[in-house]
Order: sequence, then structure tokens, then C-alpha cells
Amino acid sequence: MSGVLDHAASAVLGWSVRLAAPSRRDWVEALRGELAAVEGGGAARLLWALGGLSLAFSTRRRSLQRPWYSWPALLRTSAFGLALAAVLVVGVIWSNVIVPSHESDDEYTMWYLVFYVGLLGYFFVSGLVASRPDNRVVTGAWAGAATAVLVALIVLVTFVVIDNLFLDVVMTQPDKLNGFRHSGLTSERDYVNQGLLPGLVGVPLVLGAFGAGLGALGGAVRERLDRRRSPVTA
Amino acid sequence: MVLASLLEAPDAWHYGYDLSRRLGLRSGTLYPILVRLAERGCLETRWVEPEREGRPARHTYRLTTEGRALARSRLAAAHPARRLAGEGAGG
Repeated sequence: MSGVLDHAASAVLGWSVRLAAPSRRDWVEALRGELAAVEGGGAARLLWALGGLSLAFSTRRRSLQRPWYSWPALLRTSAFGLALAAVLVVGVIWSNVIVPSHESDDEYTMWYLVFYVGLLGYFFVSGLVASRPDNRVVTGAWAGAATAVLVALIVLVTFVVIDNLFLDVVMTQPDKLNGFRHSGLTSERDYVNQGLLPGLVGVPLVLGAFGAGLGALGGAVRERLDRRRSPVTA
Repeated sequence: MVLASLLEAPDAWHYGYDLSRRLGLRSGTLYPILVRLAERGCLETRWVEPEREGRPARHTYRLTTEGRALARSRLAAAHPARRLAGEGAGG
């Protein structure tokens, strides 16, 4: 077994050398030079060799991050919101107009829950990534808030547009029909807009507050991670 | 941690595995730190011929003058009480 693990360790270091940027190859070779000295059996040597992959990928990651750093701060903080909003807009149009669902939202409660947890996680990640260039918690908070507000606004505006443009299609949804029947309103258009228009202000504000908090948390984690990686504090 | 460990024997050349064991750091944590220290001019590196034939050369590390100064200043900043005690004992 130990022989297999030793073989794997050598293979991992071989790949790492090939994957690493030229400036890092010597360092991966340095890891290889130590391999024979590592005590604790094949598992310990494989664990040691995995550091080579970490070294190789850190340079690759850095070269990918460079364009990201050069983006203007406003674009960097909005990028996450715009990217997710673009995906959600496609989803909203697909599920409401192109292939409209005729099932109640109650059938999808679990999926909605998963979506909201994912959304909150996304705010955290946006803060974590956007605060990378300056390691400031406040940058993370701005990114999280911008992500949340942009997503909420763009998705709600999409709903306003498609609900009004494709009212006939949208009003075949059982939840909307049911809601309209109990609303006491006489116009279907008034009914869909009555629900959406106040939300255009309230939802971005509430979601923005969540985004700011989770983005700040992401910024704080980034700051902590960077402090741990710093050669000076290490 | 890494700076302090290297400063314990500033003239000696240290092996990566020995540092890793002494500090309890995995290679994936230790080596990026060593890379950054070298890039900042705080660490000099040297390849050492293997003790046994057939084995690869080993990379060794030592703080540069700049690295030693940095390590001392960081350690002093991290442990001001110890520095004061040391100064008191010395003079």
C-alpha cells in the first residue's frame, strides 16, 4: 500500500512541475527533493506532494486574477450581481413565458429554500472575492449589497415587464389565478402590478441589508485569510 | 512563525521538511510562504547535493540581512514585553 502511495506522490509532483509556471518550477522541485526525507509512510509523503499542486495552482490562479484586479472598483462590485441577474432573468422568462409552469409554487417549497440559501451564500462569496484586491471588510460589504440590490431590482423589473407583456400567459398560473380571485380587484393587470410595484423598493432594501452583512462577512474572512498567508505574519 | 523559526539559527541553512515538521505546517502552507519571502528578498535559497547517490538535490533556505531585520522587527512588535525584559536584563 505504501508503495502505491509513494508512486502517487511522485506522480503528483511530476504533474505539479508540468502545471507550474516556469517561475515556480524550482519550488516544486524543492518539494520533490524533500520527498525522500518525509517520515510517516506513503500517506505522509502523498500529503507532502499535494503541496506541489497547491504551489502550481496558486500561480495559475494569480494569472487569472490579474484582469479581475484591473477592473474598475464599481464594475468589480457589480459584476456578481449582474452575472447572477442575467442567469435569473433567463430562468424567469423560461419558466413564466417560454415553458410556463401550471403547478403551484407550493410544490417547489424545498427548491425555493435551497435557492434562498444559495443566494445568501452567493452574497458571502461576492464579498469574499470582491474584497481580494484591498482586503477591506467595507469592500466586501459594498459588493454584497450591490449584488443583492442588482439581483432584486433586475429580477423584479423582469417580472413587471413579462407580467404586463405576457399577461395572458402569466395568468394561467394557478397561484396567480387563485390570488386574483381572492383579491377583489377587477383587472388582472392591476392585480399583478399591485404585488410587484411596492416590492421594487422594499425587496432590494431588505435583500441589500442581507447582502451587505454577508458581503462584510466575506470581506472579514478574506482579510483573515490574507493575514494568515502573509509571510510577515507567518 | 516561519520568520521566528528561521531566526533561531540565522546562519544555518534550513530544509523545507525540517521547517514543516518544526512548525507543524503542511507543505502547501509552508512553501507559498517561503516563495513570498524569497520574492521579497527576505530569503536566500541554495540547492544542496544529495547525501546519498540517486536522490534529488535538496533546496535549503536562510534569511537574508533584510529578512533578519524584518524578522526581528516583527518579533519585537509581536512581543514588546519580552523585548523590554530582554533590554532590562541586558543593561
